[in-house]
Amino acid sequence: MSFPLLKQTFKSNFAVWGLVTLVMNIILAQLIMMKQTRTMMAPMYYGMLVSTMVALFVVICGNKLLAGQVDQGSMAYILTAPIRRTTVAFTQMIYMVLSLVGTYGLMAIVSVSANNIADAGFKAQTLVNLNIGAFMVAFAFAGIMFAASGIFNLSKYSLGTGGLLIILFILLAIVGSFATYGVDALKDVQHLTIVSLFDYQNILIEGSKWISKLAVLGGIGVVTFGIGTTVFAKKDLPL
Amino acid sequence: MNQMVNTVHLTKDYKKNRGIFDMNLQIKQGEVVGIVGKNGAGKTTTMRTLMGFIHPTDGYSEIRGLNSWSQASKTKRMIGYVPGEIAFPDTKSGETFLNNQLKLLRASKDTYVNDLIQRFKIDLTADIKRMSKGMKQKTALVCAFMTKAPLLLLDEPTTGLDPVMRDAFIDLVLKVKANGTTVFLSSHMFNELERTCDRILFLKDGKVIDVVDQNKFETIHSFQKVKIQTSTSEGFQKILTSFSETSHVNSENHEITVLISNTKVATLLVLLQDIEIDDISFDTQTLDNYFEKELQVK
Repeated sequence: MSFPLLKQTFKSNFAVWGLVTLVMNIILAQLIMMKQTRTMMAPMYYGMLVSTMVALFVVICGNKLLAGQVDQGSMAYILTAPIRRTTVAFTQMIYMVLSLVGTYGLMAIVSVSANNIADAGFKAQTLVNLNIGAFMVAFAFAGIMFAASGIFNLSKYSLGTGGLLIILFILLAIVGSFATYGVDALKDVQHLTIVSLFDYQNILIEGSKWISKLAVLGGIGVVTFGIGTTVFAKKDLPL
Repeated sequence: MNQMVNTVHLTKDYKKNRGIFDMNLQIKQGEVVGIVGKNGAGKTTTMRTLMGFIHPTDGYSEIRGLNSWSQASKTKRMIGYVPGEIAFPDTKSGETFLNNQLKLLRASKDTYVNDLIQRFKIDLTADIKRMSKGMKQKTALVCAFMTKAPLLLLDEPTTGLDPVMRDAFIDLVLKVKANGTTVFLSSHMFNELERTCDRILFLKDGKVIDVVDQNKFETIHSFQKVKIQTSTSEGFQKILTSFSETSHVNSENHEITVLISNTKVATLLVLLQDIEIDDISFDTQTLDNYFEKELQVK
């Protein structure tokens, strides 16, 4: 890993990361603190909002980490330094994962604190588990975007594949979520999206099925991050 | 002598006759070598391959004996690079960019860097996004030279530079050359290469079709390009029959351009005594003329 590069990446993505993280935390705290929204907090926030909002950061930043800089040409300056391409990809990946850990770690702290302050009645462990689950969705998204970013030399292709796939998963998840409200025919839609692998309902009833589902999300993330790094290290770069 | 760059049957085939083909190139330490050619001749592809950004379809290239693809992270320690297309990362000013770059290189800002900045008269406080083309080019040059690398790969380093800065660049190349730095640069401005290069490779359709070295420079300069416009067609015909090597003939205007060696100038002047002339000009042959001629032949 290259620390100077990590620092540069952190700086150039700080605004988007900060904004998305701030908004996500404010909404979460509000949903827990307000009495009327409290019961709907999990389906609203962890069912839809959380993955939609984090997708913004993942898609914008994921594209910029590799494909965007190759497309722009500024990757030439990073690669003029004696750094291996694998190291560059690995550093960018570390940034992506660490910033997501930051976002969801903060959300875990904020949700537990809001729960205590407002006496909302959630178990702290449940809130932590919900955030772990939501993190795994973001991790898989990040991997998908990273793979697209590593494969393509043009932003439009990286956004058009990785970005589009992520949006598609979110839309299917939203459509599928209506199955919970009695539209049984939509139940199958849930099998078409990886977002449903985050089984927040099972976490709420303190079941155990959710853990193995999250492992699948983790697997998707690991494989796709691997693909992005490998392809980026071996392809021709127009720099 | 120390071999700095070595390419063996280096080929990058982009199909449709694009790319570079079977390039065998040796550059010794301390040499300054230029590469010229039209757009799409393969100059940038050559540079990118030497940088290890492109995997050759056949053959290989080495920097001081290290393979430029498989050992790219090691070879880059020895290279300062100016890309053909300048695009900087999203940073505030030129200063932040240079500082970031120095950190990546694990170097610090010393007097040499300051000297370079002075030399190119760069305003480092300027917003990097609003920099003019020339300003960006100068910043990129500082970036390459500040590495103090033993090998500089410069892809069209003078695009966008004004004549004064172009001279500053040439001076700098000559200065680092005196320190033993090897420079490999591409350009389509022949005359700036003439002042710096020990050798110039002429690239066409991905192949080196001609090499001009010091001896050939002298031969080229020993020719005069004479442009004559005669008043009558008799005089025009007379010149045409006496001088076989013409590069440009226009019988309507009675205009003729002949290429003669310096030793034969007297003969021409004698012949011109009896011919009525509207206009005449003498020019020492330059690389421009030479390659123009070569292009027509090959």
